Amino acid sequence: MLPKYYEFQHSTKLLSGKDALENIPAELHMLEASHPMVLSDHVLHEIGTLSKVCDAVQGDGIQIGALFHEIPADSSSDVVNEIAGTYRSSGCDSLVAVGGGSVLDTAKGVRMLLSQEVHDIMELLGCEILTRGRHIPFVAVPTTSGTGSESTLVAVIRNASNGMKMEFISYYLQPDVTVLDSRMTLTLPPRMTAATGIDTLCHAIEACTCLQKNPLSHAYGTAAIRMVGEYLERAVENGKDKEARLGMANASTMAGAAFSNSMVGMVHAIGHALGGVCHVPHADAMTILLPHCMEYNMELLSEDYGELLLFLGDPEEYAATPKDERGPAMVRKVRELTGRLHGRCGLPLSLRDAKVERESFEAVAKAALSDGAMIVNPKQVGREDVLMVLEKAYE
Amino acid sequence: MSQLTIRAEKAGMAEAFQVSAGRRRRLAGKKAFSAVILHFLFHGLNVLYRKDERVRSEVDEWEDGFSWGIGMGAGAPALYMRKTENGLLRLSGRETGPEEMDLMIRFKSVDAAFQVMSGQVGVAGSYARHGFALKGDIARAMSVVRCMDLAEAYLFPKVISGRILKEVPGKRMGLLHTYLEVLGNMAVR
Repeated sequence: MLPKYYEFQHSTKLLSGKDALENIPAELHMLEASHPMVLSDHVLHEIGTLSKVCDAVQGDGIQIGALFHEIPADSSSDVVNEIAGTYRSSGCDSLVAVGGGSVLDTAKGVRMLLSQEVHDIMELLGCEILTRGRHIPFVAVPTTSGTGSESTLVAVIRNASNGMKMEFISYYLQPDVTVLDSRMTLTLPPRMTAATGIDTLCHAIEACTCLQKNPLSHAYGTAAIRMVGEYLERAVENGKDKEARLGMANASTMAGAAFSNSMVGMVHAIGHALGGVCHVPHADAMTILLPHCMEYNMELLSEDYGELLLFLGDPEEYAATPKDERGPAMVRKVRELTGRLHGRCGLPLSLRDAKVERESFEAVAKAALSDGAMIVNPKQVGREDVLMVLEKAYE
Repeated sequence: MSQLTIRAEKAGMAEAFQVSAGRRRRLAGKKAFSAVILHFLFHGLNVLYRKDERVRSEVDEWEDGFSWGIGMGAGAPALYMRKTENGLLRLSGRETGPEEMDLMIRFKSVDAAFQVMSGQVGVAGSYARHGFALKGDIARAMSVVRCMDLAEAYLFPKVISGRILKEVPGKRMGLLHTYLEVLGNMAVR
């Protein structure tokens, strides 16, 4: 349980609950900022979610300095560079990002560019190479409950020159403040709620079982799993259930803090590759791959998975299951959950459902082995292993 | 007031904070050992480029001119190399540096590097312990890590490689044969 050495940082202040948005001006004050640049995407602008945040942010001496609401779903280094230029020319002094993973990662990229005082974000590629730099106050307002980007030290941004997704990893990427307000996710459709919820579950399970696992990430991860078990299906069933929405937002943030400090493994490595090669949405890929990858790792992780049954299931079920059967029982529990979500909102359960062609498997395997997440998977994964998992996930 | 502060005030000078002789000796030993292992690693990679198709196919995917290195801070040993059409070319530390590398693995301390160089922990294990920072493309780093894993499998006896690698890959030659090849490579380069 106790690693020979580990590091953990979760420096983000969390505001969670009723009227959390309305406390953003006070937080900006404390961060000595008064002219935030607000970042978002056009969907959130059109459905009015963004205006709720803008209304809450302004006042008490805070004036929005600039607004950029055209961040695409697949943001790139060009977008980051453009936003940084606008930030500089409009005299802004902080960032407020409102959106899902793409918006939050873009904001992290902009913050990196500004704090490190470089002109192209690609100069900063790498892992743990950034120094603190100039402090740019950064408030994250997530509008999905899945990526966990609001609490992670990772940003994934597409290199505009070659189309490749590039990873940036640094403790200085974590936002200063994360705001969880159920108003931000009430309009999320059931299918998206289900898929992003499974993404959260996947973050938590991998965080609790990969090579960098540690006692603190385990505490965050298991708490997230318990909340997914309690709230995910409620949020899918009734999107207006504010408690369930807030529960899932908390689960996502906790899972983000967990995997930010222990990283994710082969589920994400193959999932990223499926996204890059076959354009399978990330959360769908997680839903399909999670049980298959758990089975692949079972030889080494049976005990770890078995422990997680206590959090996704109920204590009686855990106690009634013999110790050496808890790992496989956990996989069955995950399958039962995704199966019910499939019945309710059509979540894909196989690569065939996700319209992936078998011919792309070789390219997916090659990309998966080059994904940084693969290094922390406890069991060695080679090309044939990825192909085998893909084949199992196809039917 | 801490004991250290009292000592410093009594001494009146900064020498109270100098690194102890024991620590200096241990650091010097670890640096010397790491320098030897880095030398072996470079020649080992060159041998494996010729003898093992897995290393060759990884390296052949790198563009000519791609440079990468392994370092452990200022005043400590480092290895810099460049991919050429004939394999890997070692670059002199006097003529280049970490800033000029496309990819740089920089151990956070000589001690963290020594753990890897002495076979106490593998590259993945060192990453899991936050033993190094990485400058450059993480996808390319994964290719470099696969080459280093193979080199460790060849250069360390199985009792060590079995402990530090997730899985010991099949080898095309034994330990003695590998060392003879590496020594031969050193002689001609």
